[in-house]
Amino acid sequence: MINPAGSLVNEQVIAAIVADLADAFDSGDARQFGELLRYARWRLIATGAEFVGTRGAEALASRSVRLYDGLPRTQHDVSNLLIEVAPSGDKATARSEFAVLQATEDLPLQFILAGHYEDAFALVEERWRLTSRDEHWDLIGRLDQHLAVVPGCETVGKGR
Amino acid sequence: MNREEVAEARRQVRGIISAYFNALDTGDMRALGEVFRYGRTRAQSSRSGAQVIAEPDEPYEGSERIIQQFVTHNYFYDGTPSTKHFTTNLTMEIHHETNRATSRSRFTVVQARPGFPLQPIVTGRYVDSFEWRAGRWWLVDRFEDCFLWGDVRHHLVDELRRRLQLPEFERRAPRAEIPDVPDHS
Amino acid sequence: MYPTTPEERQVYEQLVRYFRAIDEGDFADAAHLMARATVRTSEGTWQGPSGGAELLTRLRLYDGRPATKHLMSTWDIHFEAAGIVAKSLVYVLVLQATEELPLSLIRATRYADTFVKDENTWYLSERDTTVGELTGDLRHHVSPV
Repeated sequence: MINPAGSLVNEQVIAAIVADLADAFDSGDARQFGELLRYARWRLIATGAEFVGTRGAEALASRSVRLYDGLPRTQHDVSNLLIEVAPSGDKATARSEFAVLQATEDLPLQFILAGHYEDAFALVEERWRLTSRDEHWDLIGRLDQHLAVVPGCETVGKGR
Repeated sequence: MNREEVAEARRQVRGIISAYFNALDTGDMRALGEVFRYGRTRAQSSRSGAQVIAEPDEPYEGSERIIQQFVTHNYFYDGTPSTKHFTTNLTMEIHHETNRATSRSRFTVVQARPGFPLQPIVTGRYVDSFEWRAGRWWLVDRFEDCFLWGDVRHHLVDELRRRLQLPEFERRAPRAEIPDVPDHS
Repeated sequence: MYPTTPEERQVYEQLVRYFRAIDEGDFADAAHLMARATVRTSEGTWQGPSGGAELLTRLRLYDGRPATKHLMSTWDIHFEAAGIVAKSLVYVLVLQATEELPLSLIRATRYADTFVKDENTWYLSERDTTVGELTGDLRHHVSPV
């Protein structure tokens, strides 16, 4: 959907995608998560892991994280979103901050991770799509209930 | 609805949601009641959406009932619940056919008290519906799903916590599913 | 909700950039964003360019950064005075993690800001972060006065 720059309609659509990504992951909606990542490459900067397309989405959401009755028991709060739509109107970048909360039987509700996303979007067949996401980890808490394999990243994050 | 009307709807929805949380956290009953003048609220609690652990309340409808619910369900300290309801991931859609708007958002409630360090106590999701009446948008329905639970003993009254069967009264250990082969893409 | 007009976006962007500047230890940028403001915090009132800079020198640093993350909640803004004054309300959560402090929530408060438009640019004129402030362990974040 192409709109004049003054109306920020493109930005609303892109902001909804950013929110939907968190929703789909936290509610275990594999179909929607896979669809949102169909044209995307998602990279975890801290570990170098990369997940590409719908199949990558499946790996990211189900095999690289711990699930409890099929759900990650996380809440990804995404905020401080700033979007830049290119003058051509068919590409955009965005940066946002995120904080992950988790509660499990062995983990009282707490923040486990905080970081930021650097995203790129493009119009594909006249619909905005995520094309890449770099996920940066800035403050690290207890990841053992969330990640299938906790990377040796003690040097990453804390007071970095 | 034209583009400008949609943008104005966004601004009003944003304002209503902001007014709601500011009213809750400052204990402003009048402002809280005003948000729900034409509205009702239904809540459920679930563990991570997997299982509804308490039947949804009867809906609370209208200003007086909402205020009564708020006052009877929560603890107050010098007139406020000593919380901050922090909301994120707010999106809105307009349904042109029915002249309604719906919004989705996440909330994280944090609380601090003497002897209770600042911490998140419950998180969840809202789905809200709005209608245009008498020249502006009004909240008409709020569905609240409490998703991840922490220590709400300083926030929700005993009787409510008992009814919600929260972990401190009844623990059930979910079995964690750890994959055999970790992903190393 | 994302800003709905370019004006809203200009004000919103100042908030986003301010918090990012703090978290990245870019105190020159943060002070610049407060240069014309009167800022009321629970530790006192700070004014003008020197006030903002002074407030920031009290932050404890770890490899040049405060090791914090400032997160903004759903934000609301209203314009007054024929569109040259904007009142902004946003909740802010502050997280911190250091060698000594496991990832913790250290502050939750409301930023009530007044922005003023001067020759097509918006600047922060007043800020109050004291209303309903909830604090956690701030010892790793702010040095005592």
